[in-house]
This record gives sequence, structure tokens and C-alpha cells, in this order.
Amino acid sequence: MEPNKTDKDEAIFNSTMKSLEAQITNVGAHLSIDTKARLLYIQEIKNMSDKLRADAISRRISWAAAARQAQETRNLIMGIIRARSTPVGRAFAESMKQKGYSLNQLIALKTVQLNGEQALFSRLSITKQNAVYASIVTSAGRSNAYVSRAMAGAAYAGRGLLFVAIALSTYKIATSSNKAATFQKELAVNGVSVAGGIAGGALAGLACGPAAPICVTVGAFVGGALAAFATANYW
Amino acid sequence: MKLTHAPGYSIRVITPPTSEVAPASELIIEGKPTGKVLGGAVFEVALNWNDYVLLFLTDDVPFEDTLNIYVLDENLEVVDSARMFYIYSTGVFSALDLTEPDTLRFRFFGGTLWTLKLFPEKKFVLPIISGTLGVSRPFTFFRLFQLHSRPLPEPSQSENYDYTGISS
Repeated sequence: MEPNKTDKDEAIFNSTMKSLEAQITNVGAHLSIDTKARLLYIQEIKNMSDKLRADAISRRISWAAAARQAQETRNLIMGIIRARSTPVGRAFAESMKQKGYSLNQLIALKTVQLNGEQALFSRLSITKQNAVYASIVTSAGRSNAYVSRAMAGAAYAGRGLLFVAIALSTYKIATSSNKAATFQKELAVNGVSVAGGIAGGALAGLACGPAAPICVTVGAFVGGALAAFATANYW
Repeated sequence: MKLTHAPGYSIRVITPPTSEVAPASELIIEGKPTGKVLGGAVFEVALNWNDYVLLFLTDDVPFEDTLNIYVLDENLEVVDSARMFYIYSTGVFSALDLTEPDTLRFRFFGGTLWTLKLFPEKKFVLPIISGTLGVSRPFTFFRLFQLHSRPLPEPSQSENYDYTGISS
């Protein structure tokens, strides 16, 4: 009886260690997905702003319409990018309530910035009014440099973690007597860890509400670990 | 001591904001350039408190803005600072309240009232202890002010414009 119990304990220990190792892949994948979403966001808002500027310059639309579209489209892009993020990334993004400028507030703000404290938009010449609208279109194409810098750091961290995960798996495959089986196991455990992480995060979001980043992060970790443990144990 | 508005302060943008580079501006006092460069592109307000001046600057990124808070001494050295920003979120600096001594209140991100409490002298703090969500502080063991937020009751539609159109 004793040897069997020891074998079982060892198998559970190995599966636990494997599930924790797979968390490197899980965290790395989460970081990579969210930083890719951020890069896409930066690119899309810039493309949108450039296109609207080009349309207004070529008089296909008015500058006023371009400013209105810039604000609406930017909000749409933000919604799409949030949906493309992981549940953890989305929970962090949604944890801060929005308090943005209305188009009228933006017009008032840009009027003062471009024409001085006493300026009133309605009293500006058409050229100056268009400059105000153009400024709104340009600013809609800008993202926060501090956030972008932090996300660039996260992208390096994500890639680094994925590199470590691949290196660990490669070592295990190289030192295994049955390389084909070990390769399949590594692929399966790491794969389900990421899928379990995303599913766990989404479930935690349903339980705690989407704007609960700590709860969703714990959910993603637990989901990834459980999925990896079950797969490693099954193998 | 009560905070009061400090007239005569303004800025001149020397590095405009882009998605890659945060803006920087030179501090102007009474129309004269000081050579002091600070992060930010839009001058919000300057306040006097004891021998210090508090400056509030935003980055002119209206859809994902940053609020930069600086406390400058008489030599225009930054003695403490904070930066408020958050991914895919923006804020509007508004509702400045200076009624309480050594304290000011304002709004920036939605749904919260921010309180900045000034200390009579620098206080020892552990920089590893995370501050409030959306606030970035320099890595230092001493602070001259503390920032904390309090959730506000749900505002009416006219008071709070949700520009994202995303319910959370």
C-alpha cells in the first residue's frame, strides 16, 4: 500500500508543479494579448484621425463633421479594443469610471487653448472655428504616452515569460525518454493553461462584475492553474 | 494654512504631446520664462500654500488625459509630485474646492472626489505601498502631500457625460 500511496502523492506533486509552471505561459499570454490590443488601439485611432483630417482637407466632409466623427469613432474603437483584451485587461480598463469631455466641452477647451482665455467659439471666424475642429480631430488620434510606455514594458515582460515557458518545455522534451509524448503533454498543459486562464477570468468577471480587476486576476490564475493541473494529472 | 490662487503663473509648451512622447512645458512667471521644465501641456491652476506653489497641468490628450500635480519650493525645485492617468480612461480637472485649510478637493476621473492633503512637513512613507488606483507617485521615502479618492453618488446624465458609451 505504501509504495502506491507514494506514487500517487508524487503524481499529484508533479501535476501541481506542472500547473504552476504553466502559469508562466498563462501570464505571458495574457500580457502579450493585452499589449497587442493596446498597439492596435494606438494604430487604429491614429488611422482614424489621419483619415478624417484627409477627408476634411479634401472637403469631402466639413471640419465640424470630422470632429464629431472623431469623437464618436474613437469611443467605438475603445469599445472594440476592450472587447479584444483578456478579461483581466478588460477588468482593469473598466475599473475606472469615465468622465470625459462632451464635444461642446472639447470645443470650448480648444477655443481657449488656441485663441486665449476670453475667446468665444461662436465669435470666431470660420477659419478659426475650423482650426478648433481640426485640433479636436488631431487630439482624437493621440493616446497617453505614459500608458503606452507602461504597456511597452508589459510587452517585454510578456515575451520574456513566454520565452522562459518555451525554454522550460524545450528542456523537458530534450531530457525526456519519450520526446513525442512529452512534447504533446507540454503543448496541451500550456495551451489549456491559457484557455483556462481566460475562461477563469471571464467567470470571475461574471461573479464579481467586470470592473473588479483583483477578483478577475485571481479567477484567471485559478482557472489557468486548475486547467493545467487537470490536464497534467490526466496525462 | 488656506490655499489661495497664485496669479501670474502660466506655461509655454516646448514638447507637444504625441502617442509616444509625453508633453513638456516651461514654467512662466509674470510673463518671464523661468527655465523650469515640467510635464504637461495645458495649465489648469496654480495655488499658493505656505512657501510652496502647487501646479496642476494636464497633457492635452483629451481622450486619455493625464493630470500632473507638482509642489514647487521657492527655488522652483519639485519637492513632491503625482501623476494621474489610467488606461482607456480620461478625466476632466474640475470642481476645485479650497475651503479647508491644507486641503484641496477636485474631480478628475469620473465618479470620484479627489482630496489632496498637504503635510506641515515631509512625511516618511514606504514607496512600495501602492497608492490609489490611477495615481503614480515618484519613488521616494518622503511625501509632502497625500492623495486619496472617495466615490461620489451616481451623477445625473447632465452632470456626467460618459463619452465611451460603454456601461461598466
